[in-house]
Amino acid sequence: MVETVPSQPSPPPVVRGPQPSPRRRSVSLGWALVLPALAFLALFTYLPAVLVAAISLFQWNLAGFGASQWVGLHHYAQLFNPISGFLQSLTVTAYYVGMMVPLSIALGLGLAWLVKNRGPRLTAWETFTRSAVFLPYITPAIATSIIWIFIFNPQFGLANAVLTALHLPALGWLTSTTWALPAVMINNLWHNVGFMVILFLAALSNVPQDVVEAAWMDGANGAVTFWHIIRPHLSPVMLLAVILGTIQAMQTFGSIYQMTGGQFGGGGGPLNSTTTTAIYLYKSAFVYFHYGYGAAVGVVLFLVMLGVALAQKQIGERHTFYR
Amino acid sequence: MAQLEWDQVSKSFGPVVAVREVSLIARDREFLVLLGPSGCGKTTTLRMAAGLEEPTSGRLLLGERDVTHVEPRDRDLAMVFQNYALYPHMTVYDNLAFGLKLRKTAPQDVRRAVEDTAARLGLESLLARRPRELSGGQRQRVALGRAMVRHPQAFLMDEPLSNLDATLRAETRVQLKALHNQLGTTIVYVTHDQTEAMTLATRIVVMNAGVIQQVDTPEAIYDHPATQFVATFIGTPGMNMLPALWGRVSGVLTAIIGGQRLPLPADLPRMHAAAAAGGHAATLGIRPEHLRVAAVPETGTPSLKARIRLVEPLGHETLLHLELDPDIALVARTPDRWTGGSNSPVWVSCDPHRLHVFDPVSQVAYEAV
Repeated sequence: MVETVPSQPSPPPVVRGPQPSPRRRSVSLGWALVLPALAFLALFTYLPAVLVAAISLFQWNLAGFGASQWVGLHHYAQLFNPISGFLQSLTVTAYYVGMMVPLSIALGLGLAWLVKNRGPRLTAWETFTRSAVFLPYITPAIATSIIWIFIFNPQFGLANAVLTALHLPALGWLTSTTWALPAVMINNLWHNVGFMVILFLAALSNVPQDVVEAAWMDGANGAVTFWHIIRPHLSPVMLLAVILGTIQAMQTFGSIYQMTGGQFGGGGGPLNSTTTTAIYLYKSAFVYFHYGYGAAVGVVLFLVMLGVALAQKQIGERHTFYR
Repeated sequence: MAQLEWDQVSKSFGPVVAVREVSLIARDREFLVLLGPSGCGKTTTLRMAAGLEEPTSGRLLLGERDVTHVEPRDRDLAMVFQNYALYPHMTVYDNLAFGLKLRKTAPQDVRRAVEDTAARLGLESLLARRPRELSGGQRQRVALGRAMVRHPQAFLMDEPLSNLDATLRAETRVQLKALHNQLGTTIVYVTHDQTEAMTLATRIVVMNAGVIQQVDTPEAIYDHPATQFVATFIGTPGMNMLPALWGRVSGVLTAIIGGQRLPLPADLPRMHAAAAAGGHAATLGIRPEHLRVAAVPETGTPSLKARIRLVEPLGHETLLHLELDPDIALVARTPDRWTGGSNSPVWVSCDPHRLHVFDPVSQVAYEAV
């Protein structure tokens, strides 16, 4: 069959009115995709946050703004009165965060080092240990904390059994103002370390093996290689771990509430020794029903967390090496 | 400066044998090149010398010292890696100084050594930069400098030029050769590039499937390949391999290739010995550049009739892809432009003294005459 060759150029395409440019279209698609998430965030996070800031300025009544009394910055002034206990809660929080962040990073990095890839593929043992380490992280803290209440029972708990077996004095744990917070820390280290392990496993797998080998050839031993070669490669993840770990530690609530008897009056005991700012906030608002005051605690806690995170980022980035 | 010896060294990764009973000596001040296709075990052989892989069996000797189980850091060898493996968070200066500092060298000596090396490699103006601010060629020089700066007993180099573009690779190759002459250090160098091997090596070690095929000077490897693998691997294109049958036709030793007869002169004891030892079959090898191709048969020279399948003009030479019969292909290289068309019949001849002969079963060459 012979096809005829058109002697005329083909006619121009029909114009169907103005078309959106491809860039414009992709922007609107982007908005369409994030809109559900944004709406959800706005309704359940941003709006409540703004409301909390507003409520903190009122002697709040559940009936609404109309029934509430404007008190201005009165709650904030109360916060910084030493009798209020707020400053003490900040001290407890600082102690808790100051211990948890370095411990969870050290433990997370150490465990990641133990279970990191050594061969071309994961062995069954490596898969098992990785899952075992990560498993606590996906359990609800409020539930697994009950196990720890039993472990730390002064009479028949596992913790004291171990101490006694090692010829060490038994401790009062959750009944002791000294040991209650460390007991909570142990629980949360166990619970949260899996997250750090995942972070550091990813970071360790990004350390180029030939650079490590080059250091060995240059005469570096294990410790020198870790400090001078591997650690700088981990630094961006280290900074992330510090910031996320701090935020997570400052927000810790469920495990403290559960372990220190929150269901019997708000937790934080004995003698406020485990009353972190998060627990203090909860008790102020939902045990003593000072909603406005609790809201003020929330606002200050937010500002403290924001300040700490920004400071960590500023200082940390000076010591961070990005490839 | 020292000699490096592999003594019956093997390495297995699980069921895979990467290196099989390698015995090899890199002599003092020698530029020894390990050459082979990827996966032939050359890099593993090098890494065992470095201490980065532990041999499954065998010994490694550095001079008189058994270093088989000595840590890499205590071997006093330097390695240049394929991807340079520079410390990305350190400046060029610190990259060079790192090894010296670890050896507790006095700060002024570190500075002097680093500046010396930098001057030698033209890195003076780059000392404050980080590796990511350098070009590929500059990184390569820093990697070399890091190895040179502490005057190790020997250099181990794992395909150090493979990431450079062709021009830079040729340049660096020349520099590397000059550097070896200047430093007079033992260098063990791994590559899959035969041009690098031929130009740089004092001796070449050709490896395949974890086994050493031949160790010799570049010329000897080229002229007298020990196995069919070496013959075909070295040279671009490699040696032509022609399956042949032997026989005496009217008392003259004759090779029968694809049904065509090629009478061989009487002054080729190697051929005659091979024919006597090898029974009826052999593999004949001939390098493309030793083939003469003519449109008409040369008088007085035995020749084989072939057909041109493809002509590859390369400018300075021409490659002719020929076919003796549908199963026997060969390549001829000619310095002239080929004016004849393809698919035309041609006559191929060669100097019979240039022929190589291999055992068709073991693929080993019959001893050179």
